[in-house]
Parts: sequence; C-alpha cells; structure tokens
Amino acid sequence: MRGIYTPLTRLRRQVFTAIAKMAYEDDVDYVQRIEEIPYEIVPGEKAHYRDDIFKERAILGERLRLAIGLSLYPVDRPSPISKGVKESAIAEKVYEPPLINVIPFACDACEPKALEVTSNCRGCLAHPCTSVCPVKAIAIKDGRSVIDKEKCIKCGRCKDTCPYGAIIQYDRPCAAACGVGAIESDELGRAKINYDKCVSCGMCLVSCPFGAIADKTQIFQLIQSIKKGDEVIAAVAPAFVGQFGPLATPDKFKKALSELGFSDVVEVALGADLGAIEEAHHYVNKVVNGEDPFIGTSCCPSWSVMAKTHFPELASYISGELTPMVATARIIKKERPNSRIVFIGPCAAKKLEASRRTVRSDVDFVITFEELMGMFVAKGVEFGEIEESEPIDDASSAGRGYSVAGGVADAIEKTVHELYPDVEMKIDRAEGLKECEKMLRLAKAGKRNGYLLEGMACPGGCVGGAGTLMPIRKAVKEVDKFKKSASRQSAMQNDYCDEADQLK
Amino acid sequence: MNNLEVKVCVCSSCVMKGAMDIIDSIENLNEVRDITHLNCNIEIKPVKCIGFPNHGKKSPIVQIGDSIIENANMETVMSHIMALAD
Repeated sequence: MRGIYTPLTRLRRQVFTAIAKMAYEDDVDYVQRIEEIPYEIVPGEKAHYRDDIFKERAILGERLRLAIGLSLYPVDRPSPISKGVKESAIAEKVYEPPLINVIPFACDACEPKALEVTSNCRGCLAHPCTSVCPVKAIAIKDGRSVIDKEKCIKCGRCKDTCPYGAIIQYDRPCAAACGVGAIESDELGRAKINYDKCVSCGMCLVSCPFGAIADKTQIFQLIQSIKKGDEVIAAVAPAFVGQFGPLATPDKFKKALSELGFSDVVEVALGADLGAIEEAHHYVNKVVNGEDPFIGTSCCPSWSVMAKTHFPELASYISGELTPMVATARIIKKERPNSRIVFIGPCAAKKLEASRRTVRSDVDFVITFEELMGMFVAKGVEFGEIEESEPIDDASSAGRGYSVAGGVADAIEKTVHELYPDVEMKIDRAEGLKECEKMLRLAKAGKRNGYLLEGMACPGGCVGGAGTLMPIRKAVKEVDKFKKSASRQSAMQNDYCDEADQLK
Repeated sequence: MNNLEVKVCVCSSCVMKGAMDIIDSIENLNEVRDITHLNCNIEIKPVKCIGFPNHGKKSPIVQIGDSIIENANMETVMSHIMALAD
C-alpha cells in the first residue's frame, strides 16, 4: 500500500536486495543461486503470508525473474525460475515488454466493483435500501438486506441511504489506483492489464493488497556493468532527497554511490532547469500569442503518454521539450561520451521512457529509489558511517522543485516572470491520472486556453511515485530544505543554460 | 507531562524495512493524544545504530525507554507505547 509499510513492501524490497547481492557476488552460479533465494526469504515449512508456502515461493520466483528483467514463467508448462537467468547476466539492459506485470496466481481475483451488505445491517423496519433501488436488486431476507448481484447495477444508492452505513461499495484496489482504466479481468476473474491503455505509472503495483503486481527492474544488469568497470554515472531525480533516511543527507550521497561502484552523481534537476526555461519561452511565444491553445508540461512520462494517447487531437500541445532525464543524460554524455547513464528516480514509467528509440542511447539504465535502497543494503553501505561530505550543486532551487506536485509550474512561472516580466500567466495543474484526464477534458472543451497545464501522474508528484520509500509529507519537507540550500535560486543561473539548443 | 524517549535506528537496513514509517506512525500518535489519553510527550530520536552494526535480520530496531524492540513495526511500537500510557 502506498505510504504504509506492509509485509508486501518488505517482500518487494527483500527481492531487490537479494538480486543486488547476487549480482555483486563474484564466481556465483546464478542458476543455482536464484533457485535458493525463495527458500531464504520464505524459510521453513509453514506458510508465512498466504495459505501455502509453495505458492509463496512460486510467487517469489516470479518476482525474482521480474527483478532480473525477465518475463513471467508459464504456469501451465514445465519451466524453472532460472530459465534465462544466465543469459541475462550482461552489462546491457534486458527488457522485453510489458513493464508492469500481474502475477496471475498471486491475484486474489477480487470482484472488480461491488456493493456488499455488512454485518452492520440490522434489518430495520424502514429498510430504505429496498425503496431506492432502481432495479429491485435488494430485498430483506431473514431479517437482513441481501443484494442480488445479478441484478445489481452498482449505482450505490442503497449505500448512500442506509442509516447504519451498513452497505459498502468498493473498487478493486488496482483498478481504483489506475487513472486510465487499464485494469480488466481475465477468464478466471483475475486482474489483467490492458497494455493499450496502461501508461506504466506503477500505482497499481503499490496498491494491490495481495502483492500480485510487479514491474521489471534493471539492477542485475546495472551491477554487471559496474563490475565490468564501466564508467557508470548516476543521474538522480530531484525527489531523491530524504528518501534514504535522515542520515542520508545529500552531501553524503556521492560517497555512498561511489561505494556501490558509481563514478559520479549528477542532479537531474539540472535538466529540469533547462526544461523550465524552454517551456517558459514556449509558453510566451506560442500560447500567449494564441498560436497554441495551451501547453502541457513534458516531464512526467505517464502524464504525457496518457495525454497523447487518450487525447490525440491535443498531442501537439503537450510540450516536446527534452524531459529533465534526457537533457541531463545528454549533457553528461557530451562531456563523457563513454559513460553509462543510470537514471535513479521514483518512477516506473521512466523505465519505459528510457527504452524509447530516441532515448535509448542517452539513458542506459533506469532504477528506482527502492531498488537503489536494495543495493545499499546488499553492499552494506551505511550513511551513518560516511564522514566525508561532498556537496551536490548542479541545479537551481527551481529545478529541484520538480519533484513535488505544483513545483514544475512554479519553476516555469518564476522563469517566465524573470524573462518576460509583463506576461501574466494562467496555470492549472492536476495530480493523479484521473484528475489529469479531467483537466484535459476541460482543455479539449476550450476552457483552458492560454494556460500552462502541469500534469503529474502520481498523487503528490514524483515524491509519491511507485518507487519511493519515504512517507510523502516527510519527503516534501526534505525537498523544500534542499531547494532552500541551493546556491542558485533561478533556473537561469544554471551553468548549462546556453547549451539547451545543442542537446536536441 | 512526562517525556517518553523513543529511539529509532535509521541504518540502511532499518530504513529499508520501514523505520521511517514507524517514525511517521509515532508522530501520528502524538497528534491523537486527546483521544488516546496518552499522558506523555513522545520524543522521537532517529539514531545511527542501536545494538550492533549489521543487524539486518533484526531490523527495524526501536528503543522505548529501556526496552529494545527488534523486528519492530508500527503495530508493535504503538502498542508498546500505549501500554506505557496505561
């Protein structure tokens, strides 16, 4: 569950740690090792979480495969967990779509949407629930309300009228978390993702109470690249501050990453600065003069893919500027052409963005904060033991704000005020894909003309992403502190301001 | 009002296993003091390490007063604190 540490969070992170540990080991037989891990994470003979220890280990096997970047193994054919593992031990990204996977036999096949009469029903004399039902689906039987599920159209009127709050309505948690309606059911009633609609935001995978959804990771191959001796450079998303606990101050981050084998660390907020400037110009030169009705921000990949696929007629109004990730990667590669870039962020969708044809050569790997934490634990990196401090100082306060909902529009607005003091801006923003969609519908209806539209797929912004570790309100505080500590306040003060054009 | 000191280990392993979520839940406990009749002020101290280093299997570790809770979670920590309040 997003924001609450549960046994599922623990399992997910244990998998990352185990895979990272295995990858860092020398002379290890991966095929044998991967078969052993489920017995270490789920020891003994009695089930820990589910009804059956064999099933627990089988699900873990699937999670291990996904963590290596492999596809799920078929349940109806003989296939060992270790199949393909040896071949995946390479210093290149291993990725075959889809990114987000439902592990079918881990899914509890809960009803997509249902109304249930709970034990709070007293069979009252008034039973207004029966009166308001438009399809006569609810009746009193044996002194209690009973819903006929065949007839029920799930309008929810009975729930609203019950004086005891005895009727509840729920959505399947993965579907409720999905802002684009991509969760469907397979023939056994289990959740199935419609990949034509899915934008890989990852909200379903942190919302499933049975831990049945997981995404693929690239930590195994990243560590192979580090071990090979590649010059691996971390491009860290602005949301990184505070994610690894109070001891993990930004000035210790470079040293901690060097203990993992990274050569250097660069803030992606640097690319955010450049993006803010570009989009500020774009707003003034295209939107203010009425050439385009509005501009949608470009940084959040789930938002921009949703906007372009669900509203194709608006696609050209979503900014085509380089995302902070890509701009930062290109700046690094320009100076260090042989380096390999790892984007470290809160985001599942960035994994997909980095696999796009146009971006593939810029960003070599994408991992999340949660996966990086697994690497820290696997390697025994302790922030508390790091003495040296090496300040991180690549970006301005404006770019650093990109990680929190509202921060992107703020950065662009500030830049517009600096560059074009006479321009009055109109801004709307939305967080969560459902809200984003509503905002776009208004735009489509012509009600957002002249606007800058900030879209963030994750509620709270990037600090609420699927790959984060910190409770959101704590993360927001830390981002704020880090913003204030920036040596530059304005995006325009960024050292790379003039290079934006050369990056395209 | 008494002060109750709660130390939470925030080494890498403890953070990965939810130390910050435990801190969050204790902070929330302070906020609902009126309802819970908790008559002390909980002072949370994130600390570098409790016990010996590399206690991965026992993470997260939390110290409430003199007692140390291993493999702590929101549930065990909150119930320990609430028991002191009675």
